[in-house]
Amino acid sequence: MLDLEYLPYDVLPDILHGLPVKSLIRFRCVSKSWNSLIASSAFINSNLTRSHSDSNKLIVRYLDAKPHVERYKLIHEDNDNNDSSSEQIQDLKLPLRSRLLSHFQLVGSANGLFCLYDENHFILWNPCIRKYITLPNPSVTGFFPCYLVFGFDSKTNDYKVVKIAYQCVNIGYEGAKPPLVEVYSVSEGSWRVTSAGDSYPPRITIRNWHPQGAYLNGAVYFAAIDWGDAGFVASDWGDASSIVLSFDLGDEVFRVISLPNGKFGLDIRILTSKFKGLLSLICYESRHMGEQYSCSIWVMKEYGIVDSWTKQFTIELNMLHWKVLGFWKNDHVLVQKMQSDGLMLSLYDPESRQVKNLGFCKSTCCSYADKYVENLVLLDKPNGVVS
Amino acid sequence: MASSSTSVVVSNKEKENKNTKKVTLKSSDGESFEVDESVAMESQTIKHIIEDGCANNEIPLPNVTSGILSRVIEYCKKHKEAAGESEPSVTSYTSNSTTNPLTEWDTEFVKVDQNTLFDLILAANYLDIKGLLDLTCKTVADMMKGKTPQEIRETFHIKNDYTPEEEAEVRKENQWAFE
Repeated sequence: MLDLEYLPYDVLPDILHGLPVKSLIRFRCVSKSWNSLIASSAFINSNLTRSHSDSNKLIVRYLDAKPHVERYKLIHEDNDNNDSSSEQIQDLKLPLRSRLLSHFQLVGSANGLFCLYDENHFILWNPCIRKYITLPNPSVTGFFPCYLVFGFDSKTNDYKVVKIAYQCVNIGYEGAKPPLVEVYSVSEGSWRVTSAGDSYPPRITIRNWHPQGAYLNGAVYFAAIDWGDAGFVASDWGDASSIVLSFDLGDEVFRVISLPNGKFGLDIRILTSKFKGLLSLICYESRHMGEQYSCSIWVMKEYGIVDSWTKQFTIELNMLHWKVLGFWKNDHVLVQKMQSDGLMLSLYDPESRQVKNLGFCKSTCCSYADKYVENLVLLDKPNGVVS
Repeated sequence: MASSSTSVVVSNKEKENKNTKKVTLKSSDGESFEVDESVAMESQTIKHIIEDGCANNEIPLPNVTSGILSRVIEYCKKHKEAAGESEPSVTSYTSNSTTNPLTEWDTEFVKVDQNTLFDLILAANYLDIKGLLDLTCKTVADMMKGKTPQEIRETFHIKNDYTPEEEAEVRKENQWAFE
């Protein structure tokens, strides 16, 4: 008959990988051997690439106006060009409140796993399996600004939180001490101080502090300034140039990616992103403060080749206070528009130049929106504190 | 236009030449099936046997009955045709329907009784045919979606080795998945 016990052991995972996460969690109750299979690290690791996540779901994060808490929602986006065919399907509840502030800061997310932070207290949260872990405190603490990064190292199948702690205020100055870099790895379960600071190039300051840099291909990328020989008075900026700084999560080394001369002045607001799997720049330009601005999307078509940076398209929306949150379904742009009573999440099609509204929230603060990815990571960890 | 039709003619000729190579597969119940070698090589298992020079007159497949083997051959033929005259391709079921032209055919192919479906999984696993394995496994997964653990145990004859207390605890920890 239909006895699954007769199937070769290696076939059962192939079947289970076709199931949505909710079914997998429920089926932990089927038997002990199913439970140990589903919670095994081999199954968890292979599930990410095999999973059939619904590609029409978006996860959105915003800060509610009253009370000032963070909220997460799932939105289903119908890909045909109907108006208002997106539907809010679910509220995801973060099971913790920040102890000090009203909400956590979002460090970043990778493969559906979120890294949140408040005052040296880090949380990794996987909303689709409702599991979180609290990280132990890093050893590096200090008064000076620190930059936090979160990403996935595909070489070791490991998630890493990186704390880049600067050791002085003016990092851009000649002779400034390099930062101390400490890395937390989920598989190691602990923080480790690294020598990555040695590879941090001198006189480079990171520009986009919030949101975090773009993550792709096992590294995180930030828009940065190379001060060169420049001083800090505006008239002396001649030598300073925009660059992209990367941190590879595998070998934990900083590297510089140059940008074409003259195209990215310091007056242009630049953020890194990922467009169609390639490193991209979101550039906001306005002639005067308070004026409407245009936004160009640039892509590095061939990795590492300066001349391959190409402008893909320009977005011009007739309004103030909007920003690009990311990209969706290849080349559609997720845009957040600030309205008098809240924020509107919209989708911009660069070909048709049409804007489609996806959802509104009574929020005052910058939000996050990205493809919803189902992932079993953290399933094998006990809930709560990691010792 | 003219040049593209010429190249089609040329490649058809190449196809004919390549296709003259045939191989015979023998099922567990003694039936022989003659197929094009390129179609048979959709199976990585058979591909290795042929490449190792171990295929003489017939390749015996003691784990596959004639009923199942004929279906497997039908699948391989169809997918090989669709892939063109290149190397045996691995058409994964995970490609979405707008890019996979065989989605409808595949869906009809797996509309079989559950015993046959399981036998196809076993054959695809033994013969190492990734596309067929993905397709059949996904079909079973779709049957399982939304069921309760008890229904899964009943449908697939799985022994519940939890004690009632243990089961209650696992269920309590994961209660949200039951809502």
